[in-house]
Amino acid sequence: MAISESQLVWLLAGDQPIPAATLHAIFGPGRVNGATETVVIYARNDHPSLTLTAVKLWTGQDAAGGGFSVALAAQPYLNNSGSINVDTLSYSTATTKAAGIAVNDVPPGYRAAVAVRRTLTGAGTAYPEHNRVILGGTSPI
Amino acid sequence: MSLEWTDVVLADPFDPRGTENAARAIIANIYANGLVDLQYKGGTAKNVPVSASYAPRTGDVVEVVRRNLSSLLVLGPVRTFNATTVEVDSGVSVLYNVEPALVTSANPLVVDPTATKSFRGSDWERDDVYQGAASGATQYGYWRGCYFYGATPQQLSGRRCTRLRIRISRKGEGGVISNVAQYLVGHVHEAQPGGSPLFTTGAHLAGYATRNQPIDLDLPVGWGQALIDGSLKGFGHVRDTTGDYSIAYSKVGDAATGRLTIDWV
Repeated sequence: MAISESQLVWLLAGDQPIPAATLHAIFGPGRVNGATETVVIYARNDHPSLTLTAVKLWTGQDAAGGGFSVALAAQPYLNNSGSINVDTLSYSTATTKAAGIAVNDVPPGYRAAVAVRRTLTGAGTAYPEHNRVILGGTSPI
Repeated sequence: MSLEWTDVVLADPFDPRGTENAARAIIANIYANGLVDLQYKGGTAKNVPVSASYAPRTGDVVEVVRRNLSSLLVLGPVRTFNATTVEVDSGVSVLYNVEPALVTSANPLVVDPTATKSFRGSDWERDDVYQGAASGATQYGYWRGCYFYGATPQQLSGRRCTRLRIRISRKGEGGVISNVAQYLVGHVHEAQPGGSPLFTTGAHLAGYATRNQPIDLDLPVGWGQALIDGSLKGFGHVRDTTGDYSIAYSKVGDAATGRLTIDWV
């Protein structure tokens, strides 16, 4: 069986799950013109044997978010070890898969690290601001 | 692998003598009204309807069924290969509130009322700010003198109040001559409402005020925070006695009457 959507599991540091659509699970509340913040999350391939290939990373942007942006940075996959310097990554605000950031293949049991950056300069107030981080690829059948 | 249409067309769907009820054809033309032209072995068929689940494309090899001797229906395309991979996407929502920017207001922030008015019985009667009632006038009800501040205190949204004071500026006439206890309550109106004021706190004895001697009296810090957060909008007097009868200047009489001084961090 191919890798299913539910087998790409989103995690916070320490392998804590990110509940679907839970407010403030990744970022806390922010203020207009507040400081830029970066949080690293992970997408783990929980398929027992198949590798996710041709992996891309992109965003779903809140159209009402004013000058707000969510950016992504992909690192080579990590397997519960290693570190990421989020200040040296190249960020993108791509909103389509075609324009998304290319990510290394994710073998079964491995995690793709994703740095999510929010910049509140020029943002508008929102209750809440709603963005998405999306990782997609190709799975053998 | 590419297919020649002659490889896939098995029968002439127009042949009334044919024994086949299904056949293969190629989409040759597509009309805006949903019909298509088919190319099949030995000829063409025009204006053929298509199954609603199939969006035809020119050149598709399709399966066609014969519904009767002269009526055809295109079921859909014939698969020419089976995929070995599938696309899989997974997203996570990133939700958070974006609050207004912190302001760099003066500290303490001084807010003078935008209006003053006193309610009694069923009407807003006076611009001066009354408390209690005069002896012999209680049949009209007790006064509810109010100060209104608009939304100005909310410019401190996100800040923490550390002290709140209100200026009581009694007139030189009216009310009990001596020091009068000042009972304040919080209300929820940025401006004078149409009906009676809505008070949402209990009465707080803030201190005492004498005629013609404006004095800043402390109010609960929690009330200051409620002002900043917007759950309280202003203050007024509720005291149903004649012994604490007091009249403070209207905004016209003293621009600083009811002045709020908000300390914050």
